[in-house]
Amino acid sequence: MKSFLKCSGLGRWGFLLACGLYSTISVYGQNANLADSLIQVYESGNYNQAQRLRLLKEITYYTPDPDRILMYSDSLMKEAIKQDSSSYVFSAYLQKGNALEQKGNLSGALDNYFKAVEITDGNPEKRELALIYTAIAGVYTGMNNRKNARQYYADAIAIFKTVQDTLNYAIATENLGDTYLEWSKPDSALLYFNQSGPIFEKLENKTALAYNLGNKGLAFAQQGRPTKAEENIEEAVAILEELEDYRPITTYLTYMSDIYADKEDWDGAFDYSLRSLELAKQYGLKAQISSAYLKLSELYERTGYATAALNYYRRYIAFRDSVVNLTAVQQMADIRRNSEIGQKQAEIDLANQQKQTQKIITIATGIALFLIALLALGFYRRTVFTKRTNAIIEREMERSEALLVNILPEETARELKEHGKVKAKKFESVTVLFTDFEAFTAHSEHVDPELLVSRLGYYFSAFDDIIEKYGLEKIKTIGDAYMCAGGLPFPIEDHAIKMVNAALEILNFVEEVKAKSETSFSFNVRIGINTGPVVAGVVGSKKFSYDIWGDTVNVASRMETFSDSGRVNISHNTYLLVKDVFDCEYRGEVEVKNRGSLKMYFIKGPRKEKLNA
Amino acid sequence: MKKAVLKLVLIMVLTFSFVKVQAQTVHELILNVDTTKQDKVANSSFTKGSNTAIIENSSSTKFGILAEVGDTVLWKAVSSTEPQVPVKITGVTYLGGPRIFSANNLSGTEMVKATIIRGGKNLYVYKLSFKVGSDATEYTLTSKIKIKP
Repeated sequence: MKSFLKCSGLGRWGFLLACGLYSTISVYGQNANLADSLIQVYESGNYNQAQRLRLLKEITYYTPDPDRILMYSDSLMKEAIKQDSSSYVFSAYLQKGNALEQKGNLSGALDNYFKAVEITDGNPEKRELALIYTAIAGVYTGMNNRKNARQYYADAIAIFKTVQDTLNYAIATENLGDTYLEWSKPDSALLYFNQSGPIFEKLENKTALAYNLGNKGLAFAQQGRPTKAEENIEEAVAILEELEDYRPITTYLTYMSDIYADKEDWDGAFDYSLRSLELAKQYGLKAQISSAYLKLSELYERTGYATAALNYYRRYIAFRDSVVNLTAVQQMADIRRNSEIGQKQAEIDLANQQKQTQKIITIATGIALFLIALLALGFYRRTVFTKRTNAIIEREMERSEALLVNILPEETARELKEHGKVKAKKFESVTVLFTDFEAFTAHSEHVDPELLVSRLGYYFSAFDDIIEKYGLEKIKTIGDAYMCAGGLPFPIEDHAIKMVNAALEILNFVEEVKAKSETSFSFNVRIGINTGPVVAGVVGSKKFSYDIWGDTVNVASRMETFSDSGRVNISHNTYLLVKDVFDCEYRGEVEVKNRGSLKMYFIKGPRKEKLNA
Repeated sequence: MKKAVLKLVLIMVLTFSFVKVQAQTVHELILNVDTTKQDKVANSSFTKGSNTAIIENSSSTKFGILAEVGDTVLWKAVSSTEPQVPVKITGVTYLGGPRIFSANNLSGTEMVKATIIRGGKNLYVYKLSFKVGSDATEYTLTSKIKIKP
């Protein structure tokens, strides 16, 4: 099936005719000029009570403007009640319903139509009942309630046929054809239109004829005959423009837009839709405005302008929603048709429906707020958790960094952290010191191991403090041996002097410990120092260890081996660097295994002049 | 109860009010003509509403606005010197660029209104025609519209 026009979301296809009350008034022949003349007479006040009612009634029948109809039908209602005229009260309800239906207020329209039915129940004039049935069927068509629409039309047509009301018979037939048009059954629709059309022509009823032509046009379009559709619709629009009956024009124009869109003539399609929109806006026809917005949204979408399509769709929704709550009204109307209680019951149901809607809104809002609160709580907890986790990670990272700095020189630790590895570096002049406790192995065999380790820790901690004081770098401990170096990782000029000073302080410390009577046992220490080039770096990927390698290290170790208890034995290289600061005792060349003869010196202490200085 | 519901609805509306879609715009362009002068075109200038962005406005013949597909453009004219003299926009005629309106010739009796149905990279160049008072002479000037991509 092709894409066809639907007005204001109400499922309307063609256009409905409303029935007139008497045959002298052609259809509900809206005639602006005549209405204006009648209003002038009414405003002049030159009439009697009976004429007043008739004037008001005729104004409501001839006026095309729904707002004016509402105003004058209210006046008619008041006056009719005052004069106790049920037939005029009926007319007031009918016209008020027509006006509200025209404005898209379907619930209001149905409400007034059913009130009019109540009046006819008290005055069983069959023709009037058929008129109201036709109007009610029209509203049901607008609501897309097909079953009720067809039933009311069928009832109305049967009554009109019985009372031989040709015009209204044709109108009801036309409108029934329209409902078939809505059900996308153009062949059936055309059957009804072809019955009603000749009657309108014979009666020379221009308005009805225009509607008939327009509806036929829509049916032809549904059949896929655009040329024939356009001819009929253009003819209908021309007549309606002459009659200033704009509501059907807007519908037909929108339909024309559809025909052009199907031909992909976008200029034509937009032109008709925009004309429809302008006209609907000009006369405040909400349902038609909504319909035109929807059509424009579709056109923009089809031509690839999504933003414009969305904006027009938003406008369509805004107007559609303002047309009324269809569901509630339909329920009310269904109850009204099937129940003796009628309108009052429907009103109660409508009120209940409103309460129910309100309740649903409250519950839905509550649920939405609860979900939002839940979401907010979730976010809050997540944020708190992330904060805590980050704090723990940060603390652990700090601990790990501190540990790394403890194991490695600070600079080396930084390099390892930044690059994941440390490059081996050669240092041209480094002084290396070894200490060793004399007879440690012999002690260890007789002393509790825990106590032994504790004592060792006591000494080494003191050594750590001493070498830190002189800016030297502890390398490692190997059993009872302690190894440190000066002049790395940052080269310094007086590393040898600082190392000798540290060595003397270590000796002093060991002597002091020995002198203290409370210590359970003590050691004598030998110290050896050598100066020369080394290579320093970190090896391995686990349990990092900063170490130094090279001949200098081996010679330093030999210096310690050939040292005496409580003495500092230095190599010739170291001697050359410290001789101006310390008094040294030359020991001669000592034969060292695998190294040949090495010159060795004992440190006697700082030179006197240096001490005095 | 009703008030509470309204409050809740209001909160919801405020909560979700960040979801915003740009509304379509009506660009009202008013041609102000000094009707006392012989050269009406040279002695005219455009004014526009606050919702309209201009791309050029050095003179009435060098005037251009920025618009979006779906926007409506409304051309009006007034006399800047003689309020009692009516100035009527009689037409907008396509000269070059993308065909952004549904017709090449848009006509009017006092003003012209048209909705933009398509866009394009280039400027839409058009001829604006107007008449002053009862004078049959039709004055024209050229102007432009750029469509936001």
